[in-house]
Amino acid sequence: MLPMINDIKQKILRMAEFWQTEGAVSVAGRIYRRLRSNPPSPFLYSLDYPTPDKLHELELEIYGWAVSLSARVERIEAFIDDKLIGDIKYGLERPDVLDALPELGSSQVGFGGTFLLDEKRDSEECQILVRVRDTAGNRAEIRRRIKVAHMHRHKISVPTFDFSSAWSNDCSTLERSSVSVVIPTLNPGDELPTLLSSLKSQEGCENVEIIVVDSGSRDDTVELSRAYGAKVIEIAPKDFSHSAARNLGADAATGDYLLFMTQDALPGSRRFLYEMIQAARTSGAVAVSPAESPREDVDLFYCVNSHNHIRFLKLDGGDRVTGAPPSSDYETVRRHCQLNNVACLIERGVFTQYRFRSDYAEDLDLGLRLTADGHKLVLLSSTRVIHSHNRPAYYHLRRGFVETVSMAKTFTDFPILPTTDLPALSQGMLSSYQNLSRALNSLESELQFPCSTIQFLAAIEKRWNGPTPATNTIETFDVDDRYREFLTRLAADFSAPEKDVADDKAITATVNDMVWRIKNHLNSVYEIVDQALFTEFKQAVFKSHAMAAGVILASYFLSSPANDDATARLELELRQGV
Amino acid sequence: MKILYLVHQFYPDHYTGTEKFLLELAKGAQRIGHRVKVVSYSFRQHSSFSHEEAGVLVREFLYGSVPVTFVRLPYEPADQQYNLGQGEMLDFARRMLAKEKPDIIHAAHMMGVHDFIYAAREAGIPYMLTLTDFFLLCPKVTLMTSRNSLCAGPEQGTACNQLCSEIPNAEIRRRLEITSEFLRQAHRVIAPSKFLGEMFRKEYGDLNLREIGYGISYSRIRRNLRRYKPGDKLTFFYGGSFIRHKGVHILAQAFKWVKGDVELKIYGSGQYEHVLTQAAENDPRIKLCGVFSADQIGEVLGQVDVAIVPSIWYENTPIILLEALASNVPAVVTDLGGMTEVVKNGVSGRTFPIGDVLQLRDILQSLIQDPQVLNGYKDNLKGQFILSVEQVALAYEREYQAAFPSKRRNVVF
Repeated sequence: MLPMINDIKQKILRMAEFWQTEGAVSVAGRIYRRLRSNPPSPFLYSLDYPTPDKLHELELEIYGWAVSLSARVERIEAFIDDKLIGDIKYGLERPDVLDALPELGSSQVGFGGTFLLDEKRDSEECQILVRVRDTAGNRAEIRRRIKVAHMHRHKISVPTFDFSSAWSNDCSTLERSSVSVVIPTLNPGDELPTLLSSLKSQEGCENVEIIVVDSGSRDDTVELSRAYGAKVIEIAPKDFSHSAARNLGADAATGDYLLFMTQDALPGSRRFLYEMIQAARTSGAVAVSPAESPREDVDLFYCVNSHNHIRFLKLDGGDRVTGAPPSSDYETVRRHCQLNNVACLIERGVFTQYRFRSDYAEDLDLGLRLTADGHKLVLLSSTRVIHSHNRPAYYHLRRGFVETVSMAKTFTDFPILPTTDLPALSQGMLSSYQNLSRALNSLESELQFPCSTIQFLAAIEKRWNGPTPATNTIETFDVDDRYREFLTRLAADFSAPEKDVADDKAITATVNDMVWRIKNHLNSVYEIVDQALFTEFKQAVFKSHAMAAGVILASYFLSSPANDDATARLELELRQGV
Repeated sequence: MKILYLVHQFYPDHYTGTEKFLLELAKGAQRIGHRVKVVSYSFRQHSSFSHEEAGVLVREFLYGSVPVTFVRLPYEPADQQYNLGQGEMLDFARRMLAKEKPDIIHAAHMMGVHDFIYAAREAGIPYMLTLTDFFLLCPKVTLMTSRNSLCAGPEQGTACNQLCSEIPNAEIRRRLEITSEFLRQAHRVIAPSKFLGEMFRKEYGDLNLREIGYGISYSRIRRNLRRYKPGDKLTFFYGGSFIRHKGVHILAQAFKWVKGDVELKIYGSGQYEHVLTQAAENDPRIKLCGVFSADQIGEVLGQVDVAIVPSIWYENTPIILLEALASNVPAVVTDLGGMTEVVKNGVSGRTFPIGDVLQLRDILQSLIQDPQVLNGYKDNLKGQFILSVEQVALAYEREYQAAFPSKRRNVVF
């Protein structure tokens, strides 16, 4: 029951006068007509759709709103050409009606539904009838003639256009710009077809030749690569080395340029090749490597390291054209010569004179030789190659080991961490791992997620510097079993009960340094830390631990070569498979 | 860099193409090392907002790794859906920009949040626009006229006067002046398809316009490797909203007349659901499969043979279509808008005239009778690359950086 009909009527009159929008006309104008009828209707209602001025579809929407002034709306029926087609649902939300008429006290006054018209009908017109009934037995009917589209062809006229303007990001094709892309493969999975397809659709180059050097894939890599038009060179797994596979691919190439890529990389754009060639030509450089940008599934650890590497190469300020390093220290040399075979473009004629020759860090080695002979290189920041790994801690253990050994062989000033004996180092790694576990455990229990990053970082600071109770068990975390098993085995194999000294200084310092970088990254990117990000953080901490352990073990072996079966087995394990 | 994104609606309440694009873009910007925040209008009930500030209801939360602020006016003005003049959210927008201090603002859709653009201009913060639909051309968004035809653009309001006379023309003309100003003062305007960009260029003349297509998440894509021989049974696929301008009713009608042992899998939800339920009750070959999560896309597209997009408006490039093509699933689409930029008739699928049920039926029937033709389309799709979400994030990052040229020293190509 609505007590204030006159108030409503006044309001409707004002609305009908002032409101110009379609919605307002729907709400106000029709009520106004209803209130002016004689005798006044027991309902306020509006059939908003279908409207008489449109050509409607065979699937006909009917909607509007209705209120009984003396009782409750009980039922709303829909008829088409006097044939009942069904009940229309009542009680739908109509906040616009309540907005216009707050006196109603409820916004659930809408009705609506979609009905299928008989598709065999001949006429393009039909009559809609909506019947509203209330609990007091009142009823009202709204009739409307509408036009309906032809049964098979929905008459939608479409203007024609003649668009001919050029786009600012269109590019013309460069002359003498054919590129042979050399990709060593081994069971690459779904990432390879994405890479091949992206290479085939590059813009701005004369021709793109793809050469796949497969070293024994057990999946469909060979067939799939051929289906994408690639030349495929198959080699035995034993013949694979990072240099040999790429040199073989280069030997089969015919392009003006060679582009070495890895199977899990992806060009950063459709003009990836074009931009690298332009960068080389503009600067007079013979080789170009773009910085990496992480894949969508990158983990926090890799993401932080990737950003850190860009800062190390001084690419955060923009692109760099480099040549012979001004000094021979390790950092300067790397900053000037660090080509990267995730994506490395080089003039084919120049490459033929140099070729790859090392089994690890062959890209850096090539950059060193090129700059030593006076060639220029470009390290690009504005053009990126998409690449990242999401690998377990155990992988980073071996990565840290191999990278350190390789760098130490390449650079005489490469910093080697001071180490004590293996039993003390093993115990130190285990105890620092346990300390990290305890610190992360207590951090998790004292914080409520989500929390602000500032709060999170303050808690880390407190926990990292606070005391940790001693325990001999390794806490279970989302770190991979293989790394945990490795640490336990290492501590058991190289225990020295008579000494019982754990040297955890080097690993703690290295991990803390990595955690500091992770914290900086969190602080600059995230304002909130939730449970998922905390889990990522924990994994990143343990991966940092694993990488630090690899670096320390490499430092140990560099100064104390393996001299018994146990240490030889350990060294072999750490060298394998990266 | 801190990037503030604007959008008319967002997860978890809405998850159509624009929201998907923006969520992936924001996550991509985070991966590159930027700090982000999404501001979205929300029609949630008042009680679901945490507080009121400067006359605006506010709710802050995290969606995945992306911080989101939902805003709502306590009472929506009647012209909320299309008014672009300075509104009641301006004071709140000024305060929020002062607090957040974004380096750049990027609007994926301005409906309900356009006051942030006014506030950005006052504060001298550069802003970018991505044209995700025709909202800045047409108050009805879709460029569909009241006479059930498609419009060639407002022509400074003259066309609106003739074709959509129910909207006061003075309001339309004023609105066009405002949108022109928004577009011209933007640091960059991005169109996800050439067609969409050209429609704006046609109305507003030379704009600082670039094309960056939508990207897809390849980590969720699984290549559909099925090959076909005569007699193979086909499964057609529709995935999207059940709303009129998506044209799913056209597909339902066409499929009714298709003969043969064939299946139509329909994924989605919306107001046309019971029309489709009715169709499925009458034809057991039609399966209503409900909605699927983003992670299920590989599985869903791995079990179908042809994707169908029968839209009856100037469809841009629906992400589901891009996902199908990237999955090596050929498509049948209306020959309209941005879709013909990615589906070439007879090359990577088929196209048909808008709303033409009979022609759609004929195409489906011909594919059933001669499924080997799909092998050719699938081969051609190998040479057609759909951008990845990472590539799109990088392309946008380049545009963000271009707003601050003095900060970088890039080689000029």
